Amino acid sequence: MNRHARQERVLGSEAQARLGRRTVRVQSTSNAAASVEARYLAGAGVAGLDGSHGAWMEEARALDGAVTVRADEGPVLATSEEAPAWTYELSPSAGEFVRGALLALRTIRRSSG
Amino acid sequence: MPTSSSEPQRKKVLVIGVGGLGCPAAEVLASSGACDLVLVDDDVVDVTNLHRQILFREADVGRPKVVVARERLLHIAPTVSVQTHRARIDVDNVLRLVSAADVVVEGSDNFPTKFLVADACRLAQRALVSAACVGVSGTALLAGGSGAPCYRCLFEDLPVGDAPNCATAGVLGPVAGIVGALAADLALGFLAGSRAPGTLVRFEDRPSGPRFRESRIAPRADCLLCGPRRRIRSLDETRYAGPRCEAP
Repeated sequence: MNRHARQERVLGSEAQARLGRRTVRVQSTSNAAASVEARYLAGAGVAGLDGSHGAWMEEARALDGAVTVRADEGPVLATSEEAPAWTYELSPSAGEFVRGALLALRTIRRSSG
Repeated sequence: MPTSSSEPQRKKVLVIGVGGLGCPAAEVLASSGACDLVLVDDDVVDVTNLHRQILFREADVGRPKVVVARERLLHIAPTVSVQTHRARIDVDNVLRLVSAADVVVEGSDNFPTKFLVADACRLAQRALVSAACVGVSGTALLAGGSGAPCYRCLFEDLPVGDAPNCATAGVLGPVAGIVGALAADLALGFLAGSRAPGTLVRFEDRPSGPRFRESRIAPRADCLLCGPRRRIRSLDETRYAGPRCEAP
């Protein structure tokens, strides 16, 4: 079984192939959420990740050595869409995790479609 | 330095299954700094785990999950205590393990284990957060250690025939992560006294966008585990026969 087989069952093989050609941006503005977002994106099989410099870069490389990781210039000041309000009702550590995972999920959906 | 005898003992959370749900749950619990952890899993890291079990890396393939998870959690939260048991949960060890915890987070991907842990938690009077996910959706239920409702008030008994799981229907990594984090949030809320038993949270990634729902389940009068005529008073191995697979 290939490493993305379980994801491919949901997305389909063509969508998985499209995802594998994309370089996507890590958008989270906090270190904790960026780490979560980057690891799920690297695990999903994207071709590359870019974003502001952070610990997520080494973590993403360690998860999948085939992923190209690049730091662009300047910090990410804001995400393009606000996180849902319910994520702010969670405990702080759960909220950070969920916001990072939600951004990864949105990117996977958009980049594979 | 010796610990003062007046210092309150830290709460202990037992995480059963260090997979797609258990990894994020353990990471959130450790990051909170609010509790110590006990991890139980008998499996080793496989390359097909990496897309959703994000405590693990390529270099960890072939290593025991509980060993790798402990290393990573201590890197994230150095002050948290993380005990590990490389074992499969069964009728012989489950009561001892759940009895030693303040709350149990269960993230296995098979009904026999889910019902075994649910029954054991009720017999040991321990609160349980049971999480499950498949495809693009999942749930986490907080069941109390006593009173009603319990896990069987909602799920009743093992399904007959094959039920879909993430091995057959697939799963998106971030969906498992979100559900695992929601399970951890329920456990933290229970320990803090802000979440009531019977709380059910659901997450679904719909075409229109992600959807989150929280509701309360009702006690079931004919529940085998917590109803007035309950019949489950011990763990009988034959009650939990059925197919098992790895944590999602």
